[in-house]
Amino acid sequence: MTRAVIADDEPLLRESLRAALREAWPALEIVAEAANGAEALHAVREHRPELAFLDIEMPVLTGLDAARELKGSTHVVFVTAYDRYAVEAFERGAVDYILKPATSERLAETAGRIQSRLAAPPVPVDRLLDELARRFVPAAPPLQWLQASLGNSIRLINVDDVLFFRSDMKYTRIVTAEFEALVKTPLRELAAGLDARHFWQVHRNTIVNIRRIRSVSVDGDGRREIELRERPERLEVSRAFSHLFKAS
Amino acid sequence: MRWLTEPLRRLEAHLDAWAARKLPPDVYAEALELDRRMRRRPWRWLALFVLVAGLASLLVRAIWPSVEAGESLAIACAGFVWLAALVGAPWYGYRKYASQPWKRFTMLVVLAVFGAAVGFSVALMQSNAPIATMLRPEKVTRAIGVSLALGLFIACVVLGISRLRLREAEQRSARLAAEAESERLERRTLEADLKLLQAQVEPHFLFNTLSNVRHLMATGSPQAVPMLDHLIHYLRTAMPDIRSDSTSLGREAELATAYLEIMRMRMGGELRFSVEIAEGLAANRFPPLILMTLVENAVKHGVVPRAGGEIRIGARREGDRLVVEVVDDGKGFTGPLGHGTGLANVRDRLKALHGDAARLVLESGQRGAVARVEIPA
Repeated sequence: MTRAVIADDEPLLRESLRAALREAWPALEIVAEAANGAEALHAVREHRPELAFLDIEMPVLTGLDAARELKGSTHVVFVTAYDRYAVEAFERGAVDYILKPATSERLAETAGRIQSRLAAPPVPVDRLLDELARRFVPAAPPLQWLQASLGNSIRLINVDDVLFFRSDMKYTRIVTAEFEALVKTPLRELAAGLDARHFWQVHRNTIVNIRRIRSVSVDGDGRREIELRERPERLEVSRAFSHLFKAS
Repeated sequence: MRWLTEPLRRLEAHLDAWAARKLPPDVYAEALELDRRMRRRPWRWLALFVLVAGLASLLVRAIWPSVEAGESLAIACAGFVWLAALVGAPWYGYRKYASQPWKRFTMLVVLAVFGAAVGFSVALMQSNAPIATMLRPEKVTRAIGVSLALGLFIACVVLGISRLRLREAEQRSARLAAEAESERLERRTLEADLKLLQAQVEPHFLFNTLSNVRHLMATGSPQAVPMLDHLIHYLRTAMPDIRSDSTSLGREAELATAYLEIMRMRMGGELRFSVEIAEGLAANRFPPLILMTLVENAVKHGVVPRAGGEIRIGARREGDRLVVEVVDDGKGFTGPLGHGTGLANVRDRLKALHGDAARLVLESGQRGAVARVEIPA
């Protein structure tokens, strides 16, 4: 007798799949249900079923991540409501999948195909998952939102609103036109994620949003100072970075 | 002619490289433009130069009849070059002059006095007159006075030109920045409009909901019809009217309610929610997609990970502002963020519609996340 685990975060959809499988594949025994990817992993390790039905969009751990963790210890059947790209990838990778809502005829067909594959070892899914991951998570765009503490609450700040960043011990001070806040990320780490076209490091401890600069002045010794549009602070440009503001 | 043109060409290339190194890029581009314009009709510029120099030399002779013709032409040409330097230096080097005005001012005056002193000495050596008559106090004072006046005049012209140029350059860069910003916002708004269609009837949401309805019907559950009704209501409200920039707050709240009703049933009743729109606010204009984005975020990050929770939607008037809030009781903005493009879109749309008068504040306190939108009422 073939045994299986079902994972979907929606209770009605788990029930629906269970009912549909009972009809299309009476010999299949559902040994456990899981409401997220982590529970699914746990259930598979505990019951060692031949089959796992994994919904792709699940909290905590997605179906794709869970499949990667399973490392071929069981046959995986992905379940998805709508994903043109994923379905294409599944077809090419010879991986089984079920589209929600699954009709009995369609499910019976899929069940037949899965049964014929059960004899062979599980298809390795790593390459396929890598490809999908690339599709779903495009190359990281520049940092958009920062989590900063403001009093005893945490606020999300859009980087475009930041006038400048200044390192302050192991924290970084964020200054906007309206307020100042602290983030725990060191300046060096923040710098890596910022859009280099708009955020320039002008000092060992300062990164400035160049769209908020009013003017840059030079004193007799060639030291440069930045004046901002919305704040009275003047920011020093250290010698190492003064080439950014080319003299005329 | 090659023996003449080749070194000239090389000299020009050297000067060009020097200018490119010395001048900031925008000023260099400006200088190139002038160069291009002068090259287009070189003869005309040469004729102009000859004409002006001739007239100026006539003028010199009219003022000092004792000066010979060749000398007067030389004086006129020198004056011409001198004038070009007086205008050209601050015109192209305005950042240098305007950044340290007092230092440059003093330098120019001192230079003028020094130059006058050198000239005076040369004249002294050349002159046949006895030194005593040349060094008469009133003559020396006059020379100092004239050179000082000349220096002050030069300094005022140079700094005046550099000041004006700097102001013009600042205005230009501010205008360019503003244009770039509005262009960016316009593009984002268009993108958001296109996404409106996709976002309001997201396929995942639609098919998952249909799967639920199908199962409820197949099992003869009495909940099948209410869920289908909510879906119909949702789709009817969601049919986007992308020609308008805003719908009413009431309509957006209705859409959010239908969505939350569906999600509550799908989650087996573990989602609680409330909607409180202060009286008289439902008819207020409110941009589309914004409330739905905030509510979807609250469900996705605040409720689904814990398989349950509460969401409160509130709208009230605060002075002349309309404040709309979505509050959940999840973990708040902790842990890794997604790309936040949904939220960035909300922010950009608000900016495009209301400029600085609108705000999006995202905060998490002791319990849960708060997303607050403020627009002029």
